Amino acid sequence: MIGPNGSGKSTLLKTLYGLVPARRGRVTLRPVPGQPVELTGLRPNRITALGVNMVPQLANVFPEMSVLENLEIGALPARSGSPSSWSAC
Amino acid sequence: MRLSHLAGAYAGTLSGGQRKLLELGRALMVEPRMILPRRADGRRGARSGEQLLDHIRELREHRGVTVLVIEHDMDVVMSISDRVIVMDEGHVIAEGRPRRSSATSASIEAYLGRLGGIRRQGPRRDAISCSPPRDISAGYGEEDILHERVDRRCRAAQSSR
Repeated sequence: MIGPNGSGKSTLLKTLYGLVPARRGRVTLRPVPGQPVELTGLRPNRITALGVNMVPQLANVFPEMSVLENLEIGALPARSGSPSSWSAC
Repeated sequence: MRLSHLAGAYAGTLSGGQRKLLELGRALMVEPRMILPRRADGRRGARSGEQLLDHIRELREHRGVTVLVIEHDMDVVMSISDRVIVMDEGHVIAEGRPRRSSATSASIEAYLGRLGGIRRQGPRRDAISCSPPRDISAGYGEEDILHERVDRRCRAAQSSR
């Protein structure tokens, strides 16, 4: 996806990932093969659990944790779609 | 992610490039069908950037993961993309397959919505209908320059009528 500053590229990504609500239209994941999955209105953690994940590319890591622990945190949404239950993991 | 030798190291001790690889690795832990890297940041010459691009190619070609990425380096766009979406002012103005040859001229035309094989959508804007500048590299981080020069040329063209 390319375009000049302010063209809406980042906003589109954020909309796909549920960080920005869509003003109109729908977000549907159509896996091949597989059934379409409606993502409109879902929270990011739920969208992650459904198979779409955002990578901010800000080198955003937990510096006080090991590399392995950082990766383990990434697996948490797969265990549960609800952050409230993560503490039990 | 070629970080296994650093598994026990504090993430805070990693280089910037290694942190980005770790961030991508963390996103892959859920085995996603689609990832949305904000930008590939695979600048040529930077080892970690090249590794990141290698991972993106691997994900796309061998694991069937869809990668929707914002990228400004047109060499990178041409090397990793099988479909390009051109946006401007909140709208998709063109989309289609990139022409892998003639990457430099094609990249400029892509920004202007004239790339062969890319289907233009919607009305042409005045800024887009101007002659494409010949001396601009649409390289990483130069989008402001590109946009500014396009607009300036448009104003000059309009005033000469």
